[in-house]
Amino acid sequence: MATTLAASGTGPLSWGRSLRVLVTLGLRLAFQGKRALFVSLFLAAPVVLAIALRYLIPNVPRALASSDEMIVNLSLMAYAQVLVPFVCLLFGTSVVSEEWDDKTLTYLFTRPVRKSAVVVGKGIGMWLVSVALIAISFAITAIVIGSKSLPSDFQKHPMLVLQLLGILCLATLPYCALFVFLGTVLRRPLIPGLVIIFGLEKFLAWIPASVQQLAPFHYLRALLLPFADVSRLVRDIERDVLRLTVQPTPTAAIVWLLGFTLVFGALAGWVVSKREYLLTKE
Amino acid sequence: MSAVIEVKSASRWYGDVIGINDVSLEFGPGITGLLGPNGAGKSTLMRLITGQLQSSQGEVRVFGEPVWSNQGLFRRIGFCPDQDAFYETMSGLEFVRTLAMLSGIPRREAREKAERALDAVKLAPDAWGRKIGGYSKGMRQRTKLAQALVHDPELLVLDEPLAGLDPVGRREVLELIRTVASGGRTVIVSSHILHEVEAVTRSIVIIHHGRLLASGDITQIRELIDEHPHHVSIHCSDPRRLGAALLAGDDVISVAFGREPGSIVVETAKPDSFYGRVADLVLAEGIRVQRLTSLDDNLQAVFSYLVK
Repeated sequence: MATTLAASGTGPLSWGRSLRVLVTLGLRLAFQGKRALFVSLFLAAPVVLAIALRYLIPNVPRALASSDEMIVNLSLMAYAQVLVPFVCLLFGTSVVSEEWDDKTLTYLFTRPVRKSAVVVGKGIGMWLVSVALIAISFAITAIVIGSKSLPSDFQKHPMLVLQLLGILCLATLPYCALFVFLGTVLRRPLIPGLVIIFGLEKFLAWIPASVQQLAPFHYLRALLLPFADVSRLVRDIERDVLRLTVQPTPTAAIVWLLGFTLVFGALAGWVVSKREYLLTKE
Repeated sequence: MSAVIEVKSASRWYGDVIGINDVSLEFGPGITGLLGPNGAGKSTLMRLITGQLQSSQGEVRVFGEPVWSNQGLFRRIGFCPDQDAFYETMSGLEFVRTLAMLSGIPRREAREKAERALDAVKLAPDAWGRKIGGYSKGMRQRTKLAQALVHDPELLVLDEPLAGLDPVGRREVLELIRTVASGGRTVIVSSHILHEVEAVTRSIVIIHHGRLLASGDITQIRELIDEHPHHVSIHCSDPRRLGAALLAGDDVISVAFGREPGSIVVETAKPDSFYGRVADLVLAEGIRVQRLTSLDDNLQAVFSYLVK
């Protein structure tokens, strides 16, 4: 071995250098194990549903037959409420808790890298993969739906799809940050994460009171609902409840979603830099 | 000589469980063996030294600075953990290269450094590009060592580095540890097997039940241990003949047949003399020895004896 010190310098590595390596590591680890495969299969569900509605089920009601209505319904019912939070849960919690459980955290925390940089860098990597998989699933679903549209429908379809996709990608930010934070606190965060997604958050979001402002879905819904003008199905279901609530403006909703991202991201960085992660008991 | 590591009245508890209790120690350049049976507190002490844990009481300083939450210090520290944990889908080269970059080695040099480290731990080059998930235990252990060495740290902390290695591998790693330390570095090697540590250093620290039991030169502790009868298990082609031949020497107290077929358990009060004689005897008698295990190398027996 060389006797000179290769790793020259004194303090921890700069954020830039750390993030370059850690984002790559996050991207790489996102595909480790069976998680990416499982998520891909999960994200194939709306594609299968779209194929069924478009090609396999005869006499689909007119309310579902319009491609715009169908894609808005899927965005709001499937992607925003289930798929986006669930994919973010699987990737976000793995940033720390998976390494904690697998005992590989030691390798990262004994390097001259800020612990918060580990969370941010790996978190960005996992977020990029989440966005990519959701975008691919959504794009394929939209193509399947649009492939059998009426010509009048199809003209508006691509722009609508891009707008909805942008909102869903924005939604991955607060959910990924939330679940990265949860993974810094809990060693096995999946069950609590599911409780948050399908219990606590939905409960808060549907209560006609100010507590709904604590649920990211409240803002996501506010961004998607303007598109639901074309959807009788969505309007019918939500009309009665939503008229009791105050919906934020699109700008406010975006600011809140970004705010959630910053708050949960900062909390995750703070927790990980302060706490110890015991790998085994002595 | 100034201390590289200073542990001052350090205690660490896990709830009601004591990891280490009021330990004060200094480690200087060279190799120090950290000995103790499983659960003695070796790993806790190493994690305190490598800044992974914070002491409940007392202080741990490395290179004159508190090590907890002092990430900059980790440029100078290499740590080989005891747990068999990896990014299984990465190749050995990718793994070491990634950690090299996280240790501050520029991207353009990281590959070369990683290759050099893997070469130093004698991981076969044809395995460098294979996934770690397919590695044998010995290859995994070498990869762990390589990641600790890759950034040429001044302080190397190795938690059970010989676990899982075959005898040839052990010899190679011990030689590597000696080479690393000869450059003026500080190396701490933990083990629960005395002979392993004895092969590379005379300086040892013994902890037991979280307390510092002894520290200093191994000679004194060895004398105490040698007074204590040792039990050695030998698997060979002709145990009856070997047993009879061994009994002829005054270094053997008793010989009994082992539980496994083809094995004997020899009790000796003079292990050094015994080990020297058994090699000569085996050659002279033409007996084939499959395995020779010192049952007392598990330090638990020795500690029980020492703390009486």
